[in-house]
Amino acid sequence: MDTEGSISTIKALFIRDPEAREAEFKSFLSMCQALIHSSSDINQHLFRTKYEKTIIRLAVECPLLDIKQASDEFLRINRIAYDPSFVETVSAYIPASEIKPLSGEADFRSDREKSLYMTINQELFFTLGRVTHLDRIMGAFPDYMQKHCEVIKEVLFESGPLQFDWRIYIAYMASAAHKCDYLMSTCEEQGKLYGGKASWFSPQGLSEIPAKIKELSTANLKLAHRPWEFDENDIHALLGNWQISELCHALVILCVFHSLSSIVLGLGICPEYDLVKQNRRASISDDLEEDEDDYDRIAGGYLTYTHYDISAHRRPVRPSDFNWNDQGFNIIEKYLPGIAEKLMNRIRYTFVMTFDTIGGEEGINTANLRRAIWMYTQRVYGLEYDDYDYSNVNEQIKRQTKTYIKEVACAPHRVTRRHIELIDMKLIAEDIIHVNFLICEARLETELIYTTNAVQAFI
Amino acid sequence: MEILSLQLAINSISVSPDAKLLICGGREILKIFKLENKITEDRSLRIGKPNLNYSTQDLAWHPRQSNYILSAAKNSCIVLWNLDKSGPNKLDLIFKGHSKVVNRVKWQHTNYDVFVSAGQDGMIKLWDKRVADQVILNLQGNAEGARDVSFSPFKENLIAASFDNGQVQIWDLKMPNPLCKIGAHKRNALSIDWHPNYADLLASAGSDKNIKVWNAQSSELVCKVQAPEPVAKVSWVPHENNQIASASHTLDNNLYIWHLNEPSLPHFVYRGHAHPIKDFLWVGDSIITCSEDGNLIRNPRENAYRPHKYLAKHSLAVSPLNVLATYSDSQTPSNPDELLSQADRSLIHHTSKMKIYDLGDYKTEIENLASSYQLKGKNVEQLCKENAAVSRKKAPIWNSVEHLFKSSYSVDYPWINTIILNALQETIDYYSEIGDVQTAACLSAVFNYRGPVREYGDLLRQLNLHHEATKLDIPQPNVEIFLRCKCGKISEDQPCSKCKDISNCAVCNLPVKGLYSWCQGCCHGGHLMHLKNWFSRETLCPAGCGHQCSFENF
Repeated sequence: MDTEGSISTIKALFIRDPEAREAEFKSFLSMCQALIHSSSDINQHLFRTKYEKTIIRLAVECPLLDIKQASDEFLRINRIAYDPSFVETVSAYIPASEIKPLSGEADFRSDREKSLYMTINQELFFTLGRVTHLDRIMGAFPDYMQKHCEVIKEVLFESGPLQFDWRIYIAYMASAAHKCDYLMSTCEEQGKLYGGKASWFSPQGLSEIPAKIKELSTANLKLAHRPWEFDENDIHALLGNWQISELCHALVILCVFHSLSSIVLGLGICPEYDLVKQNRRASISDDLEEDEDDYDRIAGGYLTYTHYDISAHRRPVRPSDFNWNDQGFNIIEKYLPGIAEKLMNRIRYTFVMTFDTIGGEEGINTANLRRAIWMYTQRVYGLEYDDYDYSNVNEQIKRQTKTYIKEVACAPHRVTRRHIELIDMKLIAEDIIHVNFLICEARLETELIYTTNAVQAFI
Repeated sequence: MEILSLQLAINSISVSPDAKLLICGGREILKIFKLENKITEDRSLRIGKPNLNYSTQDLAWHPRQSNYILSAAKNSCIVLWNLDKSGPNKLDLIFKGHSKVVNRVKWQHTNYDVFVSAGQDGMIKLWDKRVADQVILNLQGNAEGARDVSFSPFKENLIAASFDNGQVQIWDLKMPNPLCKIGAHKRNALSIDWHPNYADLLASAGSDKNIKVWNAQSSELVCKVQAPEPVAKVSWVPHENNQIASASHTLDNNLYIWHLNEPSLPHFVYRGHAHPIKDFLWVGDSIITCSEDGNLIRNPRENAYRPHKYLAKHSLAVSPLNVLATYSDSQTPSNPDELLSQADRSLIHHTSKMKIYDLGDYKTEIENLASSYQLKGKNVEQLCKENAAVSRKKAPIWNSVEHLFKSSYSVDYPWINTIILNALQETIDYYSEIGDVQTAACLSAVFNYRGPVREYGDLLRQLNLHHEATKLDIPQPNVEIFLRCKCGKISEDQPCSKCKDISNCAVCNLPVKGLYSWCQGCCHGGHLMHLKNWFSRETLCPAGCGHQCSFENF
């Protein structure tokens, strides 16, 4: 039975016209009211399991004031208690004071950024019915947030070779490769919202997944953990059932969600209040082994990161000869022009984004540090540039910071608060978010380079 | 065609001033070859341990002093080689100054000591080959990467450079700022080349698949060619004034030669590589190309695939507006036969090879017949007589069909009857086959046979003859109850959020909220109950369009 809040039934959240929305939401709340006051136990249970958490979430985390106030009023009347700060805990590692609020006064560098932030939040709410915690974190950098949202929109929702429910399931698989509960739960909700089969996301439903999707397991695991092992042979095996353009689309989704898992786990993003599953571990439990198997079964197998051994490769990929800007981009653009453009915008922007501040001090040129982080992340995955002096990395980044970067890039599910506390560089919360974006993007570029290098023989 | 397989990816080639020696450079190879009847290896410049200083991105042999060669290394250094140096190691000087890989080096043709380099760090640097430590001049391009740089062959101090932001900048070395910045390409501007004979012409090529020729003085676009894939290197063909060669860096392994007079199709295509071509040059009558696949190929110039040979020599096309175009490549003037002389009257335009004819406006014809044909209301023979009278020469079929029909009565043998009636159906099908929808549909309407009546209705609507279209007796499926707006979006609320349409009921003229049903034939509709009531008494559409909305099965 469907235990989490199914927001698809709350049509009010998707109506743009304020009056119509208000009327619709009112009728929804009166239905809930009826459920609460009903004498039947079944109805009460229905309310508690399906709608209560969602209304609480709306009372705390909704950018639209009318819905927020109506929900708040409803909870007050019915004397339902909740802890707003718990509901709104966005990240376990970034303090709440650093997260930009959804409504009310928010502190931005410029008015343009502020209005951009508000617009994007509204759009997200109308499309997905929520502003996710991940989006809240990105609010620290509205321009990045905009480019990120464009990428996700283009990859998951715009017209393309793959059908929508498959795309979301592939994103789900990609998140499972890094055991990222958060992304898995948001993918699941979006999947159901946009017409996917609920059974696909249940543990028993694995047998219903089409065999063609399951063929992506090797690609999923290799790209997530050992992208240098992903080569033409893997593509050749997949081209038996997949067409080249669909395959490119699927691989891009895998790459995007692998790197997104790094951000989510690296910043300790907390689950959405109304999406925590009862049967999944919300806290540490003894069934650690069983749950690990679960992720592995969804992702399609088991693989971990190993240190990149250059001697083991006949023909390593050399980014000075084959990189994203020149070759990779053109290959993706051939089949997925819209997606290629949005990806290029986001990667390029992240590389140059800077406000010249670090550790709270302004007017500092952070170019060397940012490039060092980018180069180090890519080197960890086996990409070495000929024109970069890698001794710079050790100069710019000290040991503990290097450890943090490597963990976020390769084994994000092992990142803990301790890693962040141990960072031996003066970084404020916003800087840590920025660092995570750099790692994520460098990683995305790496995976794209390996993917396109493998695909280029078959174009 | 001579193929020399070097097994290692080659990034650049350059030829000595006397055209007898060729140097090839790549990540792991730097060798000099003798260009004779066969290309043979002369020596390798990589001595000792492998060193990133030896790996090359670009090579430039000095245009006069044949002992000096420059190589731009992948590790952002520039290396000067002196072949006259004593000892096995010919490395002379290393120039460090760029912070990222150097994309291009070029010698100045008047001052033997000066050369220029373009780096991915966005800088253009001018060097003196005798002095390793310092740069003569730094040009700041203010863009992410400088891909190509070139001295003008005519004006000593003029330099053109292309950048990753799509700009081509022209600098005068004596001035601190660029003379002009041309927004040449949408993404990266990867390559430029000055015209060898015309002082102001500059060709540029980029990731947006365009090759553009500019007037550097006025910054105006002279002409443009579109290549199949992003172009990484472009070069004017020597001894020809309007031919350009281009090679791509991904997805395409060929070298194309374009004639600027006919830019839509390349004139020559040189094939043979398994990976994209990195560099090419002409030596005498041959063209030498090198590629990532490790092969060096020397081709005589004529040994190319010519797409024009395989184009159709004659072709024909008809436009939806009934205009015919013919193209004929033959030089001899064609003798017009009967058909063509008739057609010549409708010739509206011609060039030496192409002719355009107007085949007449069919719309008026169809319109006249559509309004005058009678399709129902009288008996079949009467209808045929009237239609025959109306159509006169255009459709003599009516007369024949009328006689055929009359004769089907006056025969006693039923099997002849069947044959005749089959013949009627075949006639209708025949007209459908040849595309005369009007005659076929009208015939079938009159005789109540199967025919393209629905398609005829569509045709009439396309020609805006809606009135005639509604007169047709097209069987509609049941008036369906739609929970959709007319634009197709499933919606239960009015106004439709997609097309913002509020429809009025044809009976009571008030806006319809909720269930709206409408007739597919004439697109009028309204409240379900009102329509039901209306059609219990009437047969024609309440909006007054004259359409007979069939309302059975309701």
